[in-house]
Amino acid sequence: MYGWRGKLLRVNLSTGEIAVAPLDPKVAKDYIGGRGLGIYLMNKEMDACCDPFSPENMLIMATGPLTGTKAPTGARYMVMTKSPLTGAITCSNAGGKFPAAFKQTGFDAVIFTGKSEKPVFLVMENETARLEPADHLWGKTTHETTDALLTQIHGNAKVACIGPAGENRVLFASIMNDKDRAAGRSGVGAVMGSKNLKAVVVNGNLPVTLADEEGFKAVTKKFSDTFRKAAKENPPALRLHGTAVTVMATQNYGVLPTKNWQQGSFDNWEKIHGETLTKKYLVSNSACFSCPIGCGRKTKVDEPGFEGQGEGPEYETVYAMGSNCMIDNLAAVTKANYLCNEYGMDTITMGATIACAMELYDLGLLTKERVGRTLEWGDAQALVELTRLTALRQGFGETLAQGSFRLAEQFGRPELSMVSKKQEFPGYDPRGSQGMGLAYATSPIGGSHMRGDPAYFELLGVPKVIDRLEWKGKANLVKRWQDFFCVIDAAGLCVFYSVRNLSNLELEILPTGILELINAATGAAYSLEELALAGERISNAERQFLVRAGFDRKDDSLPPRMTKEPLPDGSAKGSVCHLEEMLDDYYVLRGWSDNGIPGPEKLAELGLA
Amino acid sequence: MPDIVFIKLFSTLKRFARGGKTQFTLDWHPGMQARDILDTLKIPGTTERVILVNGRYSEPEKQIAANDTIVLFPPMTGG
Repeated sequence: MYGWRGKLLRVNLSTGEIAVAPLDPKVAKDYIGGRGLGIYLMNKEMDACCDPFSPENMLIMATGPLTGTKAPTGARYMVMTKSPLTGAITCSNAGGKFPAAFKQTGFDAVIFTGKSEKPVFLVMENETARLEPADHLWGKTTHETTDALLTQIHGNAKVACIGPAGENRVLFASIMNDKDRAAGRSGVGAVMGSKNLKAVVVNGNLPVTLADEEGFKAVTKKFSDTFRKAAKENPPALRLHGTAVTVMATQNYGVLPTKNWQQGSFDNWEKIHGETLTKKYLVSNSACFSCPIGCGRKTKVDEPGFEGQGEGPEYETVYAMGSNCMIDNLAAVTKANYLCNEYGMDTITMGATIACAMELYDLGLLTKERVGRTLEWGDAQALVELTRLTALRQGFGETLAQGSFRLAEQFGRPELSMVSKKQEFPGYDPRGSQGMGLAYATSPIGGSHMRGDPAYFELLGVPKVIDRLEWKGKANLVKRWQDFFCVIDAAGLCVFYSVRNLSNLELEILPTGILELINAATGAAYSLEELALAGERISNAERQFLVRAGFDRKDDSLPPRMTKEPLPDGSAKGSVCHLEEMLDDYYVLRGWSDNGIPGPEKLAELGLA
Repeated sequence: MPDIVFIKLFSTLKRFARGGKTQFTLDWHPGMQARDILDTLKIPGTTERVILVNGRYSEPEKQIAANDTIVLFPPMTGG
């Protein structure tokens, strides 16, 4: 096969058995790869009702046909499993250098089942793999683990691993690759920890062969030239100031979540803005494999108590740990981000859970005795201390390690957890961005901006603006963008580049540029309709898993703060999110029942019956 | 005192600052459109920008009232 490697690696951690299986070309074409391949395997081979920490749960790391090619941003891989945070699927996506190196081992994906008796790590080399003992790595941070493995395994190795948070099964533990790139969300690291799998080391040198090398080169050059020319006229803001530059946009729109989503704007927003990060802490920007943007931030903080060096923070971290906790101390936010990277935890859920705890404390439901310290809004020291305790499950960290929903539920106020499907929202208030509310509610992983991101057309005018406060007509756009994002994720590309450079740039978005790249790479001769349909197939296959796991309309929800409490401030003041109205439209457009179950006709159309 | 409008430039659009300032006022005139502000600041039509008038996304044809706040920034989103 071209583009695809045509090989899946299967690792049974209970028996230690390792096998190589072929990738069926029809499955590859129908599901593309990455996220699509992951859900195909989970639907076929796994009990959707299983305990996420049981040996039955599958943990899949999957690349796409464009991962590791010279396609712009062909740098991504996907981690899929059943989430211990949500009980739904995960689609935790990461870039960096690891995914491209993964592809050079000659495999499209690795599928872990079972549970090892003792800590192990997997080494993947050219079409072979082996398990090795990891007792000496257990307890080490992601940075220490990576350094140790790069000393132990010679060659051009890259590492993805868990830190203490994953070992301790913190429900939102991440898998970190290249030290600071995160498959961050939904607790993929906790599942890895439950399997006693500390790390995956990829160490291959098999170049990805393409169906039409010259054609692919020409298509890649076309996109690169266009991007370079445009960047001269319009320097990419993400390169200059990182994603945290978005603070300025959400603040001005009044959708910057503040004080556990009690407000939509933060008076001290300039102190946590991306430009402030650039001025005070930026060492250099960094780029993933084959990325022309380079939004990554290498930073260094010298302030006493918050000293450190690493990567971040991203916008979502700045919202969750900054404005949402009323913390305007960017050094503290950056330090807490470093700790999340080193211990291996999702910064969004960590910050949002602390914000929820701050509200419970403010209400007198959570006491100083219970927390082990005071927990006022804006307490930068508390942010850093509680982040560390959470990773280690010490003291009040044991409670925070369950995420905000279980925390708020424990104190009788589950509605104070700002989640969908028990996963915390990213930083765009859906009361001032209606489509975002529908996207959060219907995302297969719970609160997420990366499963279809209406901020593009509601806040940023990409490809053109739609009234952000209007709910009518949003269901169609959310559906189209969700399916488009499935194609991006399955192909192995980055959303940031793909939306603006590899689509038809229409509201009814289509993967036109991805089509050119993927056909030259794979020779699979997709039509545009087939490729777009593959995206819809992935969305529906994911929904099938959720339905089998017991999810339906009741779970496509937002907390009452979003649907009943009008935004009290900012430029979207007075607005609530009209979720139920949008959901009715959405299910009809999806061909799902009014309870959110895919109908037989839709499943037949997609070959999923 | 003439009527005024409030201008705020962010991120890459700070390069169109006036007198080194990225937050300033301009005189308002009847019939003023957002486009007039772009012209005054010499922001070329090829420069990508988001125009917010009082927190609402606006096209260049948007009529501007006295005391409106106009925010200009490049399109981007965070991850």
